Amino acid sequence: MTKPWRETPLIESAALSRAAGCKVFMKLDNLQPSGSFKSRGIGNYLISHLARSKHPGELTPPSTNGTNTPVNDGDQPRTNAPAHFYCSSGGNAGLACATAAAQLHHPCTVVVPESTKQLMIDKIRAVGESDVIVHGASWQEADAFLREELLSKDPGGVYVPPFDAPDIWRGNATLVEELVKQLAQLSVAARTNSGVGGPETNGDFRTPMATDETVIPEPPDAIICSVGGGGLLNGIVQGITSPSLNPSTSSSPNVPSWASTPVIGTETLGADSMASSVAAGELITLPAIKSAATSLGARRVCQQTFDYATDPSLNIKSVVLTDDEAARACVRFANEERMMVELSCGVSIALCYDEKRRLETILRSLGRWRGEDTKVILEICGGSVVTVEMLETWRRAM
Amino acid sequence: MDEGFSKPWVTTPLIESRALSEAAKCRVFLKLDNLQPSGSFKSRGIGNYILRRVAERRGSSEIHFYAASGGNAGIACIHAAKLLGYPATVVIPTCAKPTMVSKLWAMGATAVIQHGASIADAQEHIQMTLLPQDPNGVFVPPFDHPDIWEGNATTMRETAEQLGGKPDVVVCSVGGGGLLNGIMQVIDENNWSDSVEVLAMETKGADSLNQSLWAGQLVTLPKITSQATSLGVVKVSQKTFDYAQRPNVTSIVLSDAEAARGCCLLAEHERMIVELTVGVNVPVCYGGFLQSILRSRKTIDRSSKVVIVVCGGNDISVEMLSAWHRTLWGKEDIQENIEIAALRPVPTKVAA
Repeated sequence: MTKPWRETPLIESAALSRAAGCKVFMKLDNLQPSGSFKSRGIGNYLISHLARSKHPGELTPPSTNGTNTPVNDGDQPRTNAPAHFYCSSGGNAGLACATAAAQLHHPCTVVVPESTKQLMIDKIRAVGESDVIVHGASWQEADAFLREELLSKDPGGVYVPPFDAPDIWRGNATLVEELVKQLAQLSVAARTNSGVGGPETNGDFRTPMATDETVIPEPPDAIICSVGGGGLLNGIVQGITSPSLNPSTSSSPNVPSWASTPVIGTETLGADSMASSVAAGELITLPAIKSAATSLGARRVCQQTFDYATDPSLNIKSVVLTDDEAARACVRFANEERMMVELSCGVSIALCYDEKRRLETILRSLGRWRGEDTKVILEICGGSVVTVEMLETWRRAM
Repeated sequence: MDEGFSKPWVTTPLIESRALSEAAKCRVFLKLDNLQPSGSFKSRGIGNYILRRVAERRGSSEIHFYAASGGNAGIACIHAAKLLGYPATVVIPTCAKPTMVSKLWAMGATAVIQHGASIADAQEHIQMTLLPQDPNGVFVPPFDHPDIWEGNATTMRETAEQLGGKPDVVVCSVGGGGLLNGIMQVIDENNWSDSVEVLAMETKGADSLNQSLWAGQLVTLPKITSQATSLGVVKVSQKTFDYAQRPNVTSIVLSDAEAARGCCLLAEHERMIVELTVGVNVPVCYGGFLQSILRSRKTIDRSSKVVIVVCGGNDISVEMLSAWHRTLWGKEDIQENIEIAALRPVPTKVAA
C-alpha cells in the first residue's frame, strides 16, 4: 500500500548551529505531502485501518512498548462498505487526513467549527476529493455533529482522531527510523572528509547509498519537538526506545543509549498543557487556550504523553516559550532557511535561537552538552497556518 | 567521484506540487535544490569544480580558492572549500548588498573583499592582483566551465532517477547558462532530444540568452536592468547559446513582475521563499501557457511530467516577498500580464 508520507531530508543548518552554539540538524517534515509531520501519523492511522480491514478478525497489534493503550473506533473493521474517513480537525490533522485519503483513493469528510481559519478550510477543500463541512461554534460541537449525524449513519465510516491513538504514534515514529539511517550516513561522510564542515545527507525517498545498516549510529544529544496533544513526542519516544535501537549487548559503555536520548518538548505559553501537567504532577486540562499557536491548542495532552514526561527512566524535558519568541523564530527561519512554518513549529526553532540559552542549560543538566560537537535534531513539524502576510506582521512587530 | 571526499552537494527531494499540477493541468514536480547546503543548485557545479581541483592537486596541502561573486556562486564556493578543509576568498563589487556580504562571512569565508564597480572588476582584481601573489590560489569561475556543468548535470540525473524515467518538460532559469548546460548534457547522454522539452527562462533586463537568439549570435548586454540580479549575467556561455538553438529548447522571457508573482505563488502553495530567479519559472503553470507554448512540439496532458528546477538562491527575504505580495495580489489573471518578449525564432541551424 502507498504510504501517504515521504522520507524527509535531515540537513544541518549553518545558521541555527551558529545561533545555538552546537550542531543543529533540521528534520524537514514541513515537506510532507500535507505540509506537516501529521502526514506520518494520520497517514499510518489510515493505512493501518485499511490493512486490518482486509483481514477481519485480526486483533489490533500491541503497541511497541507494551503499554495498555485504548483501542479506537477505527481499529475494528465493521463491514464490507468502502472506508470513508471522518475527521473533526480544522487544522493540520484534518489536512493530513484529507491528503492521505486522497492519495489512498478513499473518501474523506472533515467537519470543522465555524471558528476555523478560512485559510485552512480552503486548503483542505483544495486537496479535492474530500468534503469539508463547517458546523458548530467549537470543536466539541463539530466533533459531536460528525459522530452523531455522519459517522453513525455511515457503515463504512472511520473516525480519525487528531493525535491520541497508537497507530498515529507509530506513524510518527517513522521519523526516528529515518533519523537512524541518516545519522549513520553522516558518520560515514564525516569519516571520509578531510574538512571540518557539514554533512552529506540523502534527502531522497529511496534507499540511499550503502552504509553498514547493522551498525547503530550514536544517538543525537537531543531531539527537539513541539507538543500540542503529544502525538509527535509519543512517536519520537517510541522510536528511540525501540528494542532494535537498544540491544541488550551494547556496543560501548561510553556511548549513551538511544532510549536515554533527551527529548525536549516545546510549547507556547497559553498552550502549555504538558508543562502544566508535569508541574501539577497529574494530567490536567487547561481552562482555555491563550496562545496564538492554535495548532498546539490541545487543552490536555494524552495520557501517554504525560506518562512519558514523568517517566524517570526517560529524559523527557519540557520548555515553554512565548508566542513572541515563536513568531520571531518563524521570521528568522524564513529569512535564513527560506521556509515558512507556523508558530507551532517556530516555538521549537526558537529554542535554538534562544538568547537565554535554555537548550544548553537543559543539556548540561543531563550531562549531554559537549559544546560545538553537541548534536541536536530539530524536528521541523511544518504546518499550513502561515502566510506571507502573517510573517510580515510578525516581522514588523520585531 | 574522487577518492575519499564527501561531495559538497546533496541529493534533493523531487516533490509533486498538487497546486501547480492543478493549475497546469498536468503533473508538476519541484526539484528542491533550494535545499542544497549553500542555498542553491550552485553547490553542485561549483562543488564539483572545487572537488576536481582538489583531486588534481593531491600532493598539495594548501589550496586557496578565489571567486568573484557576491551571490550564490560565492556562497557555494565558500561552503564547498570549507567542507573540504580549504580557505576561500570572495571578491565582490563595492555596491554589493550588506546582507549578502554578511552571508558570505557567515558561510565561513576566509576573506570578503569589496572592490570595483562590477563583477568584471572583481574578477580582474583576482586575476591581476590576488592570484599572482598566491601560488596556492585557484580561481573558481561562476558558471563557464565543463566541470561546473558536469556538477549541474547531477540535478537532471537525479530527477530522471526519481521520476523513474525522463520528464516531458524541464523548466529552468538561465543566468550564465550553467544549469541549462548540465541539463542538456544529460538529455544528450540519454538521446532524449526528441522527447524532452526544455523551457529556458529569463527575466526581462537579464535576458542575455534571448537577445542572443534574436541577434543570431552571442551578445553582451550593456547592463542588467532586472531585479533578478542572480540572473544578471551580461553574456551567457557559448555552450548555452549553442544548446539554446536546439529544437527542443524554447527561450522565454517574463517580466520581473511575473517572476515576483511566481515567488508569491510558491510561497502560498508550497511555503517556500525563493528569489526571482526561481519565481520566473512558476507562471508557466498558469493560463494554459505550457500547452500553448509547446503546442507545435508536444501535447501536454494530465499525465505529462513537468519538472521545475527550484534552483534556490539567497537573495530573498520576508520583507522583499511581502512587498511584492502587497503590490501584486488581487490583480487580474496572470495570462493577461504575461509579456513574452520573444519566443525562440525558427533558427538557422548551427553547423553540427
